[in-house]
Amino acid sequence: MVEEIIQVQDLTRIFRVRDKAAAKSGWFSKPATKELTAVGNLNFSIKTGEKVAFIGPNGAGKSTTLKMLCGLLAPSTGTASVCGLVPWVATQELAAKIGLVFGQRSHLWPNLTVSDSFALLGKIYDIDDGEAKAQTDKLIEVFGLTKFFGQYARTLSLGQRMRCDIAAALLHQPSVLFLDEPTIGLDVTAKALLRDHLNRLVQEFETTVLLTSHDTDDIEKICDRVILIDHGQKLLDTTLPALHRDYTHYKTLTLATEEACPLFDHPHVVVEEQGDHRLVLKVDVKQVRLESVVAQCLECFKLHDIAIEDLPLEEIIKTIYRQMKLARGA
Amino acid sequence: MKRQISYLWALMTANMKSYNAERKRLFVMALFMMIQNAMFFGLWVIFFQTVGDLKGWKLVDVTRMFGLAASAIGLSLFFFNGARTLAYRVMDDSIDSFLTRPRKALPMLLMSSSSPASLGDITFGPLLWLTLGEVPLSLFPWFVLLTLFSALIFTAATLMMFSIVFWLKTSSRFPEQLFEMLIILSSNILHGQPFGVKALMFTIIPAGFISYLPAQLMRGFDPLLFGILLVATVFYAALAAYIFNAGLRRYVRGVV
Repeated sequence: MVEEIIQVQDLTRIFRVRDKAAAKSGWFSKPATKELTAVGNLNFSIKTGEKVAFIGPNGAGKSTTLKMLCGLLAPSTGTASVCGLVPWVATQELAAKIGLVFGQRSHLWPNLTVSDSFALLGKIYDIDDGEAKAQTDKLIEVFGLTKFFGQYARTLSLGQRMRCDIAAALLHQPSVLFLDEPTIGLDVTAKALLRDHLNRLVQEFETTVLLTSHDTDDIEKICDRVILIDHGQKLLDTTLPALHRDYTHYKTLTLATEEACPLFDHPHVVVEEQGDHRLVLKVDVKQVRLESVVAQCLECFKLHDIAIEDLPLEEIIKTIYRQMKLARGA
Repeated sequence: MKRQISYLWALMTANMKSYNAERKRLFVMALFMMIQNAMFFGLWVIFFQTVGDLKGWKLVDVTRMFGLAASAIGLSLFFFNGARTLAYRVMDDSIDSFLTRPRKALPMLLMSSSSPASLGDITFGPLLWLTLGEVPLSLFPWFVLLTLFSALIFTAATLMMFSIVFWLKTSSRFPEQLFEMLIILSSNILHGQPFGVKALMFTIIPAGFISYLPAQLMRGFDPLLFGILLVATVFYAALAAYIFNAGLRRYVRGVV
């Protein structure tokens, strides 16, 4: 087994795009172009079984990197290997070892039933009929597909379709699963259901996951490591607990009080929300011990309930981007 | 080999199964295609009733050629209509779904779509042969074989035309225009055309190989012409696959 299942070295992709700012060219002259670096000198590696979130704002280079790792796009310079193969050289061979889910694009055949799509995928991936049936049955059970397995794919709801798409991507038991916005457009319940199913399956098959998503819940519930990129460059590569520990020194304290209008004052505590019998405090734990703030709260109020939470991941990411922007400006 | 055949069979049956959802649409479109063919062919009937013959070609010859062209085009569009979807698949990157499978992209693309109207074309040909074409049943296998060659060349030409999108991504309409031109030229008489037109029809737009050459073979067997048809079929199939794969390599390089 390959220890590092994905390796990326100095991966760079430069696109030549039309330069709209340049002077307008004539009908028959070549239009002015400029180079755009979508991904620049990207380096990282992922071990077998890791679940990594690959995140960044729109245009950061996530999809371009993902395309290169699937073999759909060759880099300008640099190299990468997935399952021991160079993706853009051995695309067909690699395809048998990876699974792909693009949230906005289905891999099912719209005019076939889900059942027929799975049967066809079994043939495409050259899986023995018996093995394909056993794996299909398992996926039907785990993802709860029984009710709509005989339906035409085009008649499925978005949530049902996504469950089928992810199940279909796991039919050939890939070593690596690339997920691009897998929960986009789903409601809260459908998202939670999908994440649960996915976690169960990837744990069982020891599948390595590389996920891109703008939904921080996807990252928190599925991944254990985060790679943050912007302008095609890696900004951060750390584990999720380390991200919480190192990049935020705030805790959120939510209090339910007996007092109708609770008031609180502390130099290192920001009152985030103040309402009827409710108080939300943002505590700077680098400046003040959390215990002392809690003790002060117990002294000041008659508490019905208290909750201590880390800052949401979304806020942490925003903070990191703010810091990077400031650093760049400096 | 057995597994490969099983896979191709699965692709083809999946394509056919997609009609289960819309059988009514299939029959209506097929019926209207037959009516459309009949109306178009009616013009030839009127023409030959007026002029009698055209440099030795009579209505019966045109009937046989028209039947062959209709069936060949129909067969191509029924089984390999995916070639016509290439332009939009490259435009919206949905071709990616073929590239991320552990199989060659070309068979999957070709068999990814089927045109329901083409069933009307397929049935129109033999109907024409049996009615106005005066074709004895003993000649049917020969005519069907010629139709298969013609269908393969038509598929290859369609694939080449739509592969242009790998080089001209913004012009998805252009391959459609070439395709329409191919259909028109394939259902017209090239007999008596000037040399320049014939040269064009036997090279860049192989309409001559799709209808004219098989039509000559329908009039009487000629080993040389049959040999040329065989070579042309292999040549255009290989050329189309080469152009498609070259385009695909461009796509992966990110040049498209």
